Amino acid sequence: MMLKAQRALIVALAAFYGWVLLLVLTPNVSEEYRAYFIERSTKDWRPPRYAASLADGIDFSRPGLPSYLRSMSGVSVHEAWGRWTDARLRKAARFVFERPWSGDVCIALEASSVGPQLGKDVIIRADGNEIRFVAVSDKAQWYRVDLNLDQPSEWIEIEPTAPALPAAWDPGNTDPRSLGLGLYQLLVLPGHCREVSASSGED
Amino acid sequence: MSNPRKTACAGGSDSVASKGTLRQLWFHHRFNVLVAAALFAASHVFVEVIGRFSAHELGAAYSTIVSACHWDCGWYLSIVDEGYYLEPKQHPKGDAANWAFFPAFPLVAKGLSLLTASQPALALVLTSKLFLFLALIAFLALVEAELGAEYRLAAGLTLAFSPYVMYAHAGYTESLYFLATALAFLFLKKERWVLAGAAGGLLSATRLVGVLFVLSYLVARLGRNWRATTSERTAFTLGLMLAPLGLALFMAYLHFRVGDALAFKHAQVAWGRLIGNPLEVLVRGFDTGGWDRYFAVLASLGLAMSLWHLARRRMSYAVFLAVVILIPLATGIQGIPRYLFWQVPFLLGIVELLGRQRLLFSLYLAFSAAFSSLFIVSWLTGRTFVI
Repeated sequence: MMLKAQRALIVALAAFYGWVLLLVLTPNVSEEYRAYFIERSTKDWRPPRYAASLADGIDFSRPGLPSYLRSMSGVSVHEAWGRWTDARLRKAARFVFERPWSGDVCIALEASSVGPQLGKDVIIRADGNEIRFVAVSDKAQWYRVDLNLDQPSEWIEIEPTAPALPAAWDPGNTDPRSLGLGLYQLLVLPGHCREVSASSGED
Repeated sequence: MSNPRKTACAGGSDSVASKGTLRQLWFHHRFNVLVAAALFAASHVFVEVIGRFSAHELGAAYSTIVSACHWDCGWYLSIVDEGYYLEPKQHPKGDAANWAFFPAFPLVAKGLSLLTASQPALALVLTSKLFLFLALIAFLALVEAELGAEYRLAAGLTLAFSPYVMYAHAGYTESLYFLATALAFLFLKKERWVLAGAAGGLLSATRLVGVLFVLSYLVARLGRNWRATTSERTAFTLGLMLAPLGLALFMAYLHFRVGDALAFKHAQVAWGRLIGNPLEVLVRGFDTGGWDRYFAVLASLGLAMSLWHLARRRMSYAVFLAVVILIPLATGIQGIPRYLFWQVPFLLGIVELLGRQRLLFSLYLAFSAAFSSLFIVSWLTGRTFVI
């Protein structure tokens, strides 16, 4: 009798552990929780929001995020000048918008590149579409690329292809981040860049 | 149909038998219980006197035993007060939550608070003290089983005047952790597999590293050349299955509370803890100097003690001590001394090495109590190196 009860308990415990394992594999959390606590792909937990229109863009020198941006990951902490992409957090910096983009989209990025990334490709991606440009300067410079989105996409990614630890160009530097681009401003606007730049005047 | 008179008789004889068992238990363990009670009282008075002295001469904010409830005790207090958070809300960034703190200790404190209608902070401190008393009894019984009755007094003194005994008087989980570990190893020694597994289950609900007792449990089996019967094999398997139960229950609870069964691990991001190579952390501790060097020395002593157990062919203790040092070490070196001095295998090793050498043991005890006094004063005056 005792033996039977023990065996039944073993089976019940095995089933319970299997169920707990299933719970582990299927967290039921928000996107921002997942990014901050589980994937650790962002350094911002519920950052402050500032009112901004799409035409204002994302000003990385401001703490927090514009109201139209839901989340941002793969980007290091805020600094007075802007923010670094950090491939240690996420291979590509990811920007998730409150509303999806579709059709022609102009992406204007003010950025500098650093270390091995200088002169290397940067990929801009949005749900199956991608385009490359070369980051040519270690000073802040505007880059504009056009994307044509066949399907609506809520997110846009910017991926430096040659990020590196600062120790790679500055021996003795113990900064653990994997830096690629210094981000100053990012504008994502509907339409072709040639139409947009005529009216925005971002440079 | 059963005969009601027979049933009544059977019930009566059960009752007599259980009274007899209780009497036997008391007869067998009365020395341990009385010594534990005396040492517990001495430890309490020791902390109280130094607390009063710190308040009177050094301006420490110590008026009652509740004044010792600092730092992590505050986190346990939040669990007793409001339960586990739905959302993180502490620290300047608002990203810290009490999910990192395991439930067994605050659950008992909550029960005590409800039962005695006492303030939660008082209940936490009383609970940790109560578990010190029980831990003393369990440790004395374990040392008796492992080393012999002549080591018991040394064992009690080693625990009651440990350099980090403050944790047992400050609303921390350490004394419950020690109790559960001592019971788990005691039952393991006696090959009471189901009870060992149940104590392991309590251990895994007390601190994350408690789940590592599973390794000791398995190693205990490997170290024995026994031809098990079916009932022994079943009991062993059941014990093994019970050992991680506390952790699994906590994980299931967190899934429904927070949505994340691993929230206790993920919450560590708020403390900036990242997993690294424990040996690199150890070497860096030696290089950095200051308190880090002291922490590194103690971590090395702990690892050396693990090797000592290995040499004495006590594999279960060796494995447990090594992993419970290396895993916290992988996330940083601070806190290592308190982890170490609340590990049963470490204290057992001290008792075995010094317990029968009166002069050496007296010297150890003098230093241990002296360090304990310093750490109590430091604790009550807010010095963070003791945490």
